[in-house]
Amino acid sequence: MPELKKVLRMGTLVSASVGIALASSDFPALVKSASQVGGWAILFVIIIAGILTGFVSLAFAELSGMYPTAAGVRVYTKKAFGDSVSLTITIFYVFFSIIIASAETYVFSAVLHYLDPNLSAKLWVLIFLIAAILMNIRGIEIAGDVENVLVVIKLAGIIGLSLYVIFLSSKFHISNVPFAPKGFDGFFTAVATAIFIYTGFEWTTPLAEEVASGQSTLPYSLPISVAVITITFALFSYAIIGVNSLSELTHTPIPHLIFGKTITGKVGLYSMVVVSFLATLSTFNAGVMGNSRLIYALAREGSFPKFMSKLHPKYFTPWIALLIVFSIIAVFSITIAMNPKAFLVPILVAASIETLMYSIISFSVIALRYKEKDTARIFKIKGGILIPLFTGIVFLLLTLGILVSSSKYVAILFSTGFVLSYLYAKYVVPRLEH
Amino acid sequence: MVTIETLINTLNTFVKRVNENTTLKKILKGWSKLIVIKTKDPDTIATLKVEKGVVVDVKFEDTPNADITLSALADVINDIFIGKANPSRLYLDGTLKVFASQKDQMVLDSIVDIVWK
Repeated sequence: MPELKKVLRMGTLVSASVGIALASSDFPALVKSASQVGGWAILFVIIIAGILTGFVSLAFAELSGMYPTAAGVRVYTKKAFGDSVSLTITIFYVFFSIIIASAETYVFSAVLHYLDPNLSAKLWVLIFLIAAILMNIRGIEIAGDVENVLVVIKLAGIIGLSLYVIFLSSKFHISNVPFAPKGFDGFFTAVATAIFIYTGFEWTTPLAEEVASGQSTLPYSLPISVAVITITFALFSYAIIGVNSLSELTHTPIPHLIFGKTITGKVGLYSMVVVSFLATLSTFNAGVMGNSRLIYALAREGSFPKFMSKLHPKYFTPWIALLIVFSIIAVFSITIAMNPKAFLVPILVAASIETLMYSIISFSVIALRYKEKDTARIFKIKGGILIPLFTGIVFLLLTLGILVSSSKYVAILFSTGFVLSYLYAKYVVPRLEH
Repeated sequence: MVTIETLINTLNTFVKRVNENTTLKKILKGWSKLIVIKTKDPDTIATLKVEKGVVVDVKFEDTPNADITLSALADVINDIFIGKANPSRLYLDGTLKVFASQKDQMVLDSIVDIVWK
């Protein structure tokens, strides 16, 4: 029985991690990645991105085993690099999650707009955000068991449709698709962009009884989650480029809907709408709520203004932090809706920040190997610092790859976010603390 | 370093303040939880049973079905419950470990905040 319980716990953690990572914005990110390589080499792009993220998952596994806390990035970087560096990174991380939420809001609003073109995408953004904020302020969260079922439905939808296409559909013509017409440069940036699909896999919060009993399965669940995401999107990417031409998909935020409609008409279309709805629901359930709680904790510790730590008297949710986060998301999402051609900008900004974060996390493992030699580790990466060092360097190069190869707006947003985070941590936080 | 007697005293005083606080009684009326507090140096375990916002029982023993588990050095736990230390800061430091649902963590944090306001 204890073994069964452990397997069930592992299942819940894997589904939580996969559930957060599976987002509607993953589909345009995947197509962008495929367009950078230009052909069915996207399959290998996803596998390489999966292996690299797998190395990162080992870093998270080691760190979460040392410090089992929901405030992961803040704790790991503070222990590794000190308070001021950690604050800059954490604030930048908050900025990053707002960017992701904005991209997700826009993509899902585009899904709704596709279904009902009478309402503009901007209006759908507002309708969606109002629904999401009411849900978040009331503290309505998807229970673990329900989330497990939703993840299975999402995976079944994506994998099922992909396998159907690859093995049974007459519309699948992969032999007509070239391998990698854009060469190695395209391959490298494609891997960097593909990292976006893993965003959030590390946001799993340790469950109370697991860590308290000293038998946490969290460190072991992370690499499994990465493997599940890799298999899912490798199959999907292979299927989609065998059916639709890249030129048809690259300029739309809803390639998954077009793919679904092409294969089986309305059945495929609505299957993808359901997958998209569930994906966005999970992202907002865990992502935005978790982010507002991080803002609450930062306000309580004195790094953000005190009023941001105000809790709703009935629902115990950080309603002011939520209102601020949602207002910023609304501004970003409506800006994208007004410039639909720029829908990939937030996705690429998020991908560049995520790759930088993964690099920092890998270097944190190395720093803590020296600083906290004696701290107990439930899990330790084998081979000394070789894997974290390799991962840290590769992800730093991937960050640069995205910034150099994308539109100037990606680099501008990335730099602005980083500089503002640094200035805030250096000049504003000390004043707030006084 | 705090002694076990000091910790027991601190906890009992805190429980008294929670139960006497009318604001907490009002906002926690639907909140029933088992809270376990574990300290090191010296090693102690306390279980607080909260029913509808009122601490109805304090036992200095472990319980397997805790909804919330706090663990830290005894000094740290003592400082939190006498209102000297900011639990959020200690949590973000990794000094205080809290194993609970996100909502329960926030409720607990606001209890400490309201009691020592």
